[in-house]
Amino acid sequence: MTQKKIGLLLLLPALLMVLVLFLFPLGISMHAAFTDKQGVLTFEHFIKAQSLYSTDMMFTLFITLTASVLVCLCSLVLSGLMGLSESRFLVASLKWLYRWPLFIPFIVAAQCMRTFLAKNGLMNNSFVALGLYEPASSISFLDWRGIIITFVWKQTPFVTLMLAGAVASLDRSMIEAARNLGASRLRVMVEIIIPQVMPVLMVGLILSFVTMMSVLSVPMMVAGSQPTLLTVDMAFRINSYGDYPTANALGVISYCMTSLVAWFYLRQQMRDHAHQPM
Amino acid sequence: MSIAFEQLTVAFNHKAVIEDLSLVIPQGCFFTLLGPSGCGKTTLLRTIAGFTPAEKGRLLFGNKDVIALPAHQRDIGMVFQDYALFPDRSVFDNVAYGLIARGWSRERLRPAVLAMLDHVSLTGLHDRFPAALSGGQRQRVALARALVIKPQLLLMDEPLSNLDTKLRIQMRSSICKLQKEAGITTIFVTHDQEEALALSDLIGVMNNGKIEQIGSPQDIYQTPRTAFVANFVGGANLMPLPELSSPIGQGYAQVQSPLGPLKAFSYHQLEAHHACLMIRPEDINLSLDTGLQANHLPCRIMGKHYLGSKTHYDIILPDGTEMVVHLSGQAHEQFGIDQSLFACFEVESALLVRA
Repeated sequence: MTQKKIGLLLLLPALLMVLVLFLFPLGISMHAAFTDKQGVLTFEHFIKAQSLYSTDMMFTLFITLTASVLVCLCSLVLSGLMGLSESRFLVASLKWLYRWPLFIPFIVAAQCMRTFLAKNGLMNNSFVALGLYEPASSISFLDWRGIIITFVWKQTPFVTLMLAGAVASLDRSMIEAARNLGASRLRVMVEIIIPQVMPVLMVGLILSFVTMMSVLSVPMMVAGSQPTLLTVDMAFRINSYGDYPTANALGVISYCMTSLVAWFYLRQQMRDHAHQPM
Repeated sequence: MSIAFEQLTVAFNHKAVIEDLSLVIPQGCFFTLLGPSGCGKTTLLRTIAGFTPAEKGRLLFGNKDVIALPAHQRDIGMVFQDYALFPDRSVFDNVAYGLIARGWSRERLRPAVLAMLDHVSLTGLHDRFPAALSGGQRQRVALARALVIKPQLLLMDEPLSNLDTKLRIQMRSSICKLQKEAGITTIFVTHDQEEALALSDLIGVMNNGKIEQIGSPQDIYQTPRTAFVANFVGGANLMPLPELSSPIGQGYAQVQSPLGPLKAFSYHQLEAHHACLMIRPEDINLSLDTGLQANHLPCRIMGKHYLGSKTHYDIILPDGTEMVVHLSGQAHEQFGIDQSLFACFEVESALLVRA
């Protein structure tokens, strides 16, 4: 048996898994989204989805993009502190603490946020106890802000984990060279580190974006009311009406959103490769 | 600007790697920290640069104590062992980085950067990226980047160690020339004694976190204070001496070796029980008779290796002491393995050093 055939044989189980668990269901969903009951090509499910949930589509994009931007900022700050801080205590504390949310499921995180962000939740009670404001002026964050806070809390460790690894793998003497040439730590982070870890950051953010697009528990538990994320709408179409075609159309729209982000990243990557220094 | 350390101590995990170091480096001096791996020379350099904090002591740039200043405020240029160039920036941007960090405008820095690139023979390469440069060119970019900011002090951490022998010798001359032209006080770290001897105005030989001897290259090579310095800088034959009855002062001395009395010379005061005899391989002559030289020891040739400009002999003395002899010229060509001869040397070549 040739090397090529052995290679293909070894790849076969993985290919089969992708085919059965991803491509086949995706194909079925796509087919259901684009055909009517008679199997004729139609856009009626998309028109229906658009007429019912256009606000939620914009809301979903707004929530996931805003959360991604905040995750980006938080993970840069955390990985920057862990990579550049001279305080060993701070670095050790951050390294120990930041991974914790990774081990907490979204549904538990959502439940925690409900007790933390509610009008009479832990956050408001703490602020009131600290005398920062009166109990009457406390407001509930269990709306779009709650979803964003939960997503940021949950996804920042994931992106930080990737980013901190990338920062740690950079040549330390390059950072020291920049410091030696007169750059402050912030400047080193912005001008030297970020450009070099940008590919890793982008991958982390895209994976994070895709994860946030697919979370059902957080919008249901933290916000609950309209507008909401497309995942809730899809669950609602299926559970309340058994309306799989519209749910599939919403799924295709979600897929397009994530594909758009992935395409934007890939295009940028290819452009960078084309201009890569010789 | 002169540099001074006053009782500088650097520790890792409460264990001192440099302890109570005091030293003054004069203005414009090319000072080399020479020592084996792990002796603390790079740690000392990093402490000067501000990357490794000092446990105690003072670090004076002129009259100013900079020990508490962060690295980016010390006004030091540093050339790293692996150059540490920014891979995503062109040669121009690499060299310009320090000036940009100091708030120079692009218009103002452009002539300065191009002039510095001319100075290090990199004219026309300003648009290239580090990946497209040879090792020597990268080294020169690193040097240009450190010099263009006109630092008060230039630090170099084994900058020639990644280059091949020929290029290293070329770069030695370039570095020496550039340093003299710029007149910047420079601290150079190396474990290569030849590099240190060739480049330096002053050498500090380090061992176990301490400077064993400071002196000009000639002082270090010709009048080593300790057996470590003698052995590390150039080859040395060391002969332990039985305990001396009294301390030895500077000048000529008669010492009792295991092979009988020998006439020796001491450049430094030595304590009675801490001395040994040091003879450079090139200061020993092999002769069929006792010759005219002050000291002569019977020996037998154990090995002979032709090295081009000289021949390397391994000899053994009657008490089992092994020595190395380097002879140049052709008069000794007839000497062969197992031949019994005399190892002869002058009084001034038999130096007493601290063991």
